[in-house]
Amino acid sequence: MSTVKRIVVAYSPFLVLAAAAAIGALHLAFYR
Amino acid sequence: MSTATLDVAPKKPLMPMLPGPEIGREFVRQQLPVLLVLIALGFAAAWFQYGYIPGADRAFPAAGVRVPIWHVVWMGVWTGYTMALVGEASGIFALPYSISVLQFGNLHVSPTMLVLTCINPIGALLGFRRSGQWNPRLAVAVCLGGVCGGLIGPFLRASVLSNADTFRFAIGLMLTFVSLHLLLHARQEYRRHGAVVGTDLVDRDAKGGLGRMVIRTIAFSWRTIEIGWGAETRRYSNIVLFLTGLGVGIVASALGVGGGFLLVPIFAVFYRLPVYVMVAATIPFVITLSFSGIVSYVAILPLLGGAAVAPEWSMGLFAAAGGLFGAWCASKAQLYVPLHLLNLILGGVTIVAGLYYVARYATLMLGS
Repeated sequence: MSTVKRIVVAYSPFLVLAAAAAIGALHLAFYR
Repeated sequence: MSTATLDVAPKKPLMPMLPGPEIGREFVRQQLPVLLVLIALGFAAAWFQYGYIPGADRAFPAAGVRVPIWHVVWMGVWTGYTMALVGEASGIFALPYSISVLQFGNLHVSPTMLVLTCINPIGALLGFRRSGQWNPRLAVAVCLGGVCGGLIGPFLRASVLSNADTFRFAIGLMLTFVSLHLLLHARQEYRRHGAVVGTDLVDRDAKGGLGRMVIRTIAFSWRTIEIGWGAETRRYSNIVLFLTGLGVGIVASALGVGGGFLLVPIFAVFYRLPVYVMVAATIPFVITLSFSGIVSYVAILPLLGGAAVAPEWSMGLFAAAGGLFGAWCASKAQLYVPLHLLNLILGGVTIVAGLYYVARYATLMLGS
């Protein structure tokens, strides 16, 4: 598996959590 | 005299590719139909209950919040993904996110999350089954214990556990210590062995071919089970597994919380099972516990004088569709995520839950 793909999959939980935090913050800013 | 250095360490095999076409076929044949049914059911529930489709413009009536449908689905996806990676249902992330970010803070939030946590691990169950992280004999005793505990728990809510805050405090302390142990253990193991991934445990001679893990049952009787994966074996008492499931089931249903966040750390610390293997038992366990939770919510609680609160069905179904997909993705990616990162996530989630209970108790004590 290529290095980039391996790193993306390995750290995917943290990437997903970061995306969730960003979307959550945007939601609070616009829908509160 | 010349000296020769021999490299005796075995060469680490190259990490196999994610089998893309195979995963695509599995998604189209197995997951997509269920996803579409859940999304359709979400729209149908909203239409028949309210006569319109709630979302960003019109609030979900029971929840009382305006939130785009894609955001509810996304909540299911990310909570399902991160939690299924460590063998749990998505409730531990989805509940606080619903309350604090989506501002869904009324009584309907708990049953709505029950809809999500009941359906979402099914995606992981099907996915892990295909990946070979599957052993019904390992799961049977702990699941039976969970069902019994899930049905006994509500009866203890009013009696033995009437002082639930003190009990939560004890659970919180236990979780905090267990998670600290997990985090330290993850650090030690990483220093000792470096990054270990699930594909290192894959049985390359197995029938399933490359990329398929096999959790073998070496011996099984009603008293004991011996399992093996890769070069490792473990022997457990079925009675102790049953009692573990029973205890977790009682505590979880008495406190009205999911059981995964208690069972997974116990399996990691006391049973020394790697996350890649324990999902064979914990995912069936969280599904059975969620179903017994629904039974106790719908049938037992009204018998005890409590009122059954209706979930926000459409929101629960939309979130469940996302959760099912996220959990299935996790089952495909888990073998490629290093063990120390999985233990870091597990320790992080567990310590947050533990400290929450401890802080809540401390706040109550200071307030009184």
